[in-house]
Amino acid sequence: MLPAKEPLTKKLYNMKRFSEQLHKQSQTVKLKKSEQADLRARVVSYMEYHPLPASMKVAKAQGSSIKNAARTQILTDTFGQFMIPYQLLFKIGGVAAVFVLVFVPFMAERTVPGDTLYAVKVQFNEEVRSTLTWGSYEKVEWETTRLNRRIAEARLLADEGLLTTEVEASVAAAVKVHSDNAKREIEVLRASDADGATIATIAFDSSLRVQAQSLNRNDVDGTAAQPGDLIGNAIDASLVKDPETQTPAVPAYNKLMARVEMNTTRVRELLNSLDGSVSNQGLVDVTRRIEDIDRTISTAITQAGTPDTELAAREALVDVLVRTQKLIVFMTNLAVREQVAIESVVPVVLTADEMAVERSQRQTELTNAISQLTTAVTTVTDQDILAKANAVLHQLAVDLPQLQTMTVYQDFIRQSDQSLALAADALTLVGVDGRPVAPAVAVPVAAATTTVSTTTPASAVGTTTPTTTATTT
Amino acid sequence: MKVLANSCVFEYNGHNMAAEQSTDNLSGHEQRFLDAYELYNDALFRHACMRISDREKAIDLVHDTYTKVWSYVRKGYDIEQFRPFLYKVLNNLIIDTYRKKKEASLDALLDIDGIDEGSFEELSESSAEALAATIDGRKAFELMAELPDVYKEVLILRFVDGLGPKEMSVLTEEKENVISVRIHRGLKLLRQKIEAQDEFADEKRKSAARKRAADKKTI
Repeated sequence: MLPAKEPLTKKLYNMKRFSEQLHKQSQTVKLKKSEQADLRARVVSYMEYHPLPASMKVAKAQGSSIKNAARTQILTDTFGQFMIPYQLLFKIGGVAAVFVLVFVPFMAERTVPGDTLYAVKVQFNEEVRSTLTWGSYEKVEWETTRLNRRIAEARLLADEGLLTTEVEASVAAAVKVHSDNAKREIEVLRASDADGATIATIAFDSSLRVQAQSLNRNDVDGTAAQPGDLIGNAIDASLVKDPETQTPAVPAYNKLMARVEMNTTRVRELLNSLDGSVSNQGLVDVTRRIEDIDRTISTAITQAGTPDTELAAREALVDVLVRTQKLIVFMTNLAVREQVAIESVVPVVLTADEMAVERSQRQTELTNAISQLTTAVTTVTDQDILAKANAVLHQLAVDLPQLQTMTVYQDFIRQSDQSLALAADALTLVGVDGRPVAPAVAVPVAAATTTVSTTTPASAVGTTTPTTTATTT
Repeated sequence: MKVLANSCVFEYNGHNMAAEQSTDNLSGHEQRFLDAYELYNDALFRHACMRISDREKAIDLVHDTYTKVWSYVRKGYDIEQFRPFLYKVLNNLIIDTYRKKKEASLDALLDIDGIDEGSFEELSESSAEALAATIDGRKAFELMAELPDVYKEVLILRFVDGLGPKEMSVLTEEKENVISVRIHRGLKLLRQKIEAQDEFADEKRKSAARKRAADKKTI
């Protein structure tokens, strides 16, 4: 109920009083400090997570840089802020990752023992590759490659005069480790694939022999090891076989042929890659070996068609496998190329025509020697020399017909060498100057291992069946 | 701000940084919005708290108000005056809150008010002032929560937030006459409640006096 009659001034006073009182009372309703801070933080956080579009962002401060304008800063009452430049961090991380995973390993590949990054090469690069290598045969190949790398590093250090005894010992230890690894993988392979294990053994031994040759350690039995030649000793130890594994069966024809195909392909690829980087003579030498290999393969293919000669074909392919493996090591290793002649690694295998020419030349030279000696004997007065010269003449007269009837080329070469050497000695004895019996071309007996045979083409020896001569280097 | 959103981490400074606020690098929109926040956050909270009588909920509503307004700013709309806009958003949120509580009485009251245009006395501003002059403000504050929201809304806007009839009309999307009627009826209802409370208190006091007198007599 409104008061009926109340003065206007009092009404206004009361009205004002009501507003003031209500307003004053309402002012007691307010946020606490903590609530204010919390609310502000929530609102500011919302602003930060829902920022203005870039087009609306206009820096207030005229003098501030563009960077500062873009980098707006809102501080809460109780929290400050600092920037974590994630994009920059991601970029830096990416660059660092590329540096660590690509650049450093790439640079490490060129290091030698003693370099800072050598551990990266051995313990990261190579271990990663080992991990990523599947298959026992591939693992054997990789361990062989690692072994070759260690030896190449040692050679490089030796050339620079930096190969200390400690480094050599570490390299020798590494050679032994890789050799053991390869042998272990071969044994693993042997459990499932005996032929594959034999092929892997042949390839591994061939590589080791080339390295042994390049280290002037052709005596692979290790009896002539030089003091301090730790690497050579390690290779010799690796080449020593258990009695059980010294005479493995010749692998199956198909598997041998498959591996030979792979090796010959690899050899041709290497030949193409060497074009321009080695001398023409070097290319010619390698090309000649490839031709020899191709010829042997063709013969083996022909022989494989007949059951009687199938074994000979397989043995021929084993020989090819050895030669191709050695060629691969020779061509991929610069140090080996510089230190050993290709002839000592992979001797030339003469063709039938070349053999015939060689036979003819040797026989002619021997005949000439006999003639010279016969003529010279007439002028000799010393009875002892005369007796010796006549004995030689008699021996040569016996040897010459024998040589003409010899069908095995290697036997002919061996016998002719002896006869020509005897004639040369006799001519020297009787005082004839010069050596009339120097072969125009050194015709070596094809290198072979105890498990490898050298097959002479049947056409070269004039027989219907190929003759296989086992020789030992 | 986008850069900030992706890459900022807050670190406790160990002390109140109110005096250290740095807004030198804020854009104009951000600066205006934050100024509006500083100016009106307390008033909005007070309004919300008195309307819904729930402190925590009121804080949430104020927060939601500012986030909605910020989203509006982000869309590129230019807000000339933040105050009415903030009150408008808050008011809508409060109504939404009531609707979520399924208070059918709100709609019922709104419907009633929509039909009843009020008497001349109720439409008169001076009448409302005269009515207000008869009410104790402190008691009114205490009993405000008991009023229906339609009256509470206009009374708070008028006497607590100090908005004029025109502003309130825009805010509530009602005619000024309706606002005046609601203020008048709200005050009337408020006075009735105060009178009822006074009568109850008086009755209680008398009852106590009688009881004391009876006790004395007995003794």
